[in-house]
Amino acid sequence: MILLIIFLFTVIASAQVDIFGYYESEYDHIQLANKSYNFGYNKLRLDLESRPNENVMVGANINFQIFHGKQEWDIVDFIPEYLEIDSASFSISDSMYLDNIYLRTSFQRFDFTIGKQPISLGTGYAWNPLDIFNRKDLIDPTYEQAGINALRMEIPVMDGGTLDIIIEPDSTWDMSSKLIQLKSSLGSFDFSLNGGNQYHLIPDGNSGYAYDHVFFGGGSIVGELWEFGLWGETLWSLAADNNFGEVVFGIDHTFNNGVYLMTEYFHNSLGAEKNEVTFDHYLYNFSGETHSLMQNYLFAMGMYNLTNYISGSLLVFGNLDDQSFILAPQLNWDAFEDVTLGAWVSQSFGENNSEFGIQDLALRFRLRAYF
Amino acid sequence: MKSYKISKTVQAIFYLILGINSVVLFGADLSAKTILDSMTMVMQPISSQGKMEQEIITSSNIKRVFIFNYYSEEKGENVLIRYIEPRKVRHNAFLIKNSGEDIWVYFPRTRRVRKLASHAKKQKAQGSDFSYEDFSGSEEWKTDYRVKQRSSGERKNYLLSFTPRIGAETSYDSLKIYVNKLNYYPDRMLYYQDGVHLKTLNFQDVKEIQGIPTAMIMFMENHLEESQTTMRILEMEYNVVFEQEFFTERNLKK
Repeated sequence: MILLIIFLFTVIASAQVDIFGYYESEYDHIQLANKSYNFGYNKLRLDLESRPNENVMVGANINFQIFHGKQEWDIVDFIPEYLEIDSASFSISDSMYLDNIYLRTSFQRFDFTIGKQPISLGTGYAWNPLDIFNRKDLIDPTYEQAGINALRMEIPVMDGGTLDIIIEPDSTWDMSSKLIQLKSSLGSFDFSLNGGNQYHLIPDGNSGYAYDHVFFGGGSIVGELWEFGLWGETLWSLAADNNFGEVVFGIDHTFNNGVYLMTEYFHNSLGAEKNEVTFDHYLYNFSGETHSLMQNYLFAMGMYNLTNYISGSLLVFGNLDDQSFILAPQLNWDAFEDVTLGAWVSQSFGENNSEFGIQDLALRFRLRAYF
Repeated sequence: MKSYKISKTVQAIFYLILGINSVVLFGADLSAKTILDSMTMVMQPISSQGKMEQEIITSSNIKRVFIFNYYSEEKGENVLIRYIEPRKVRHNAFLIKNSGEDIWVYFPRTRRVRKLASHAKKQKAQGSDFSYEDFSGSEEWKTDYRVKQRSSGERKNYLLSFTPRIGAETSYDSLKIYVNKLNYYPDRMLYYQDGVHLKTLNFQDVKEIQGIPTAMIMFMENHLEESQTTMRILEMEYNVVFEQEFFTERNLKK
């Protein structure tokens, strides 16, 4: 990795480098059952991009992040009292990190990308079962994801199809994550067939988890029927004796007046069943090891451009198993050519010991200026 | 016998009138179609690549400028748009195929390609008065609409009037295009939605590039929102031979 960084920086230093990025400032306020906190951050993302020739691209970005307000957190604030956990604290601190650094080369018959790179898979908006490398934040599903240290080969096959091979190396070959994806189209539908292998959580048979090597199979589809956009994706373990997985379906439509509506249903059989939630379920969900706490979820969004530069959105997402929901109106304003401002509110509904009901009200202000 | 002769004469006159009317009706339709064919041939060259500047002025007089590279083939059936400025949308790209039926959007920060359903073409492109549909080819004018020639009341222009065919999915419920009689290049297009004159696209500063008339300025007025979008051609080249994989998802991510 160090050699790769030295090589990439040498290439960047000797070639014409394009420098761009953004400054982002966020202020958050959250009210829980009997306490409230203020927190936020200032972030500078510095992107470097160089194209020594038309077939080679070197990309990197460094993030500087300074936090303010509450930085010492206790998971206990976000889990129900009945779990009877005394304390599980963690802290976040100011950071500077190389989020992405990669080299992409285009050969005649394939593209090859090596390094810490952005990887985003699947057709879903709020959930992506096929993306075994990332997880999304439901309140902001399109926010950039952390780079994945991987080798990726994209081979054009058939008519416009692609064979995509991704390996995320780890200490041994067995521990490494591997994914293969064959993507093509049929009529107005794009589809993919996927296979993967990962050292992953599996159900231990007692409402808990264990780790093991898992082979996955799945696929995705996206297209349209009667003016409605439709998509779906799934990834399922191939072990006959320990079968688990995830599936998502979505539908969207834009009306002639510009109103956009979409909804997604997500099922994760690895999530906890109703009335069987344990501290482990919360822990693995917070750490991103599982894509959801429980099994059945719904996400819906309506969006409308109030003016040319102000858009209003209304997000609703919820846990169908414990009947807790969050309603989140959002206002985004392109205040200047390269400056955006966002004001978001989220109000939860549900019992105090439910996943989303434990939070009361949250406010977020975000400013981003691109350069 | 006499009555038969009269009857035959009336019948002959009836058929003659019917025949003349048919020729007139057929001739009018043919003329409209010919004008439309000539116009689409002139304004939609087989392939092109260029650089464009899009200036948006809102009703509150806020100005925004976008610059993008534009590539098209198959008379605009396949289009690739790659944004250069402003920084916020830099390297964002759209691949529009089959005259807007298939749209893919590429976000460089996540290197994610997302296929949009064709209803997304109704959305405004980067807040402008152009929809994504407006970027794609003009073949749907023939397939989705019935075209008639009307009196333009102008010496230099023909007037074509479009109404949607039954079952066709169109964003506008009628269109009017004024076509220059000399070079068959459109002078202006009027878009109607729900019976209301929604917007007007004006073609200005028409110059010949490689022998093809080209409006260097396209000026779209939104009459409801009182906003304006001006599209200026900064660079343009026609009859470009693209590589076989140019209009593909692979190239979208480059």
